[in-house]
Amino acid sequence: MTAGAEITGLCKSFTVADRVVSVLDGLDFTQRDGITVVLGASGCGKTTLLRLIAGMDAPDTGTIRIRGTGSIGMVFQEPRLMPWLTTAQNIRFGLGRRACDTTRLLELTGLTGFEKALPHQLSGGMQHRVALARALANRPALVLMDEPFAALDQLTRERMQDELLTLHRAEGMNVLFVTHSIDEALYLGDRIVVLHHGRIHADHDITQVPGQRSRAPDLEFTRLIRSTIQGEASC
Amino acid sequence: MRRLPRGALVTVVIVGIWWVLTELHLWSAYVLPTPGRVWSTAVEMTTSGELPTHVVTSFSRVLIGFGVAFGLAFALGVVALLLPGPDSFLAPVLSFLKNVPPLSLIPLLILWFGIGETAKIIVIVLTAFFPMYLSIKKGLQACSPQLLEVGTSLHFSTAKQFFLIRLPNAVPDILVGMRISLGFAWRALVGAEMIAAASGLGYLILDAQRMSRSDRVIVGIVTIGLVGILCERLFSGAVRRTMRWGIDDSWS
Repeated sequence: MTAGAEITGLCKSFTVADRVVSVLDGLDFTQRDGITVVLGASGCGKTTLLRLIAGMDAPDTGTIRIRGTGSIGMVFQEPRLMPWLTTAQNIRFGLGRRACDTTRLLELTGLTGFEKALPHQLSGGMQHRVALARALANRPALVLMDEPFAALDQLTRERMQDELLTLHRAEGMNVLFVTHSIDEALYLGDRIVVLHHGRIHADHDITQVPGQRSRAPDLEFTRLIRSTIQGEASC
Repeated sequence: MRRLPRGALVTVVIVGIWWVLTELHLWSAYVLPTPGRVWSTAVEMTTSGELPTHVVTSFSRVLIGFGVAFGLAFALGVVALLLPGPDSFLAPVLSFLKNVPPLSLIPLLILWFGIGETAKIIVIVLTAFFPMYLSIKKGLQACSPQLLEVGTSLHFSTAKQFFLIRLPNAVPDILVGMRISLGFAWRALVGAEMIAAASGLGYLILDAQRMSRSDRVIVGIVTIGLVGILCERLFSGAVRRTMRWGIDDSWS
């Protein structure tokens, strides 16, 4: 098995206006190979979970272990490109003197010809592709993606989803993808875990579900997922 | 392209009004010399090497004072970012100095350092320091947490995060501070030279006043303005060539 997160008893709370809000409450999770989608309503702790795995926040209690070797790439909700760097420099950002096949990454993300463009000269979709290429530049074994396409329009979002699947096939990395969109989860995921009240409420292997990787997913399964998000059912 | 002819037109109009007023003989030539007289004085002072010498003297004082002020402002800006504790000790002193006009320190500076270069350079340093310090501090501290998180996700050390994210992100703010400081440095220099100097453009103006040579006073004033514009143009040109982001149309 390649890289992935192994989490036991994870708890995290925040103090908001003198009130302690528990976001993750004893979460247990073992990532498997492929694209795992963490699905849940807004505020259910999806982003917190990803930030904890990325080491950007510390858990209150519980353990997070990254299984396997290799680095971790992170793609945020916003592209977060360095505005003073060109596309090629942004892709190489953080690599230092280490080698990186920028040409191949530019090709993979459809950015050939834009290597010298600055972020403000690129469209929103292109900026997201640069962010994706930057995360892949280090050849990560695991990529964490925090609703990376949420701010994009429908058509661009669908194109980016297709590009992510192409990159996943080409690079073979494992992906932990956070979203609140059921359609996106069904299209991208090999496995969907539903987060509710700070825990994994449902865990679906959807490789055999009809409508996976389809823009017209199985309606019955969509209904089941919707009810688990709302905490009405679990499996 | 359109701004230059407009600016030149205004200059021509001002010189025209000046010429008409002098031709009407409303004031004596001592109070308001003719444009022709000022021009011939300027040519004479330039060819004799007097004016270029004063310009070079003043310019080198500005460069030294500005350089020292930048070094101090950058160092203290970094201290304010990395060591907020010591910075809080410095804050009252810096706030005090910010509110004291550097020219008011001249009597003490002359007493302590004489009328040599040191007193004048200290005045320039004190004047040029604050705009740069405040801009550098703001630029370094106001870095977007979202960009810094990119560094965290790439496991950057504090030093790497500073040099690869904070510092480049602060460059537009730093440049704005430098530009304001450059103008301040010129103003302070002329003031300092008018009080305690034996050379430089400020000295030239004061000396001309003592000799009742209004034409030389006007040559001095115009030269200060032109050198100031030239400095700003050179600085803006260099910035525009090197910066392709973060500098908007207001940078002109």
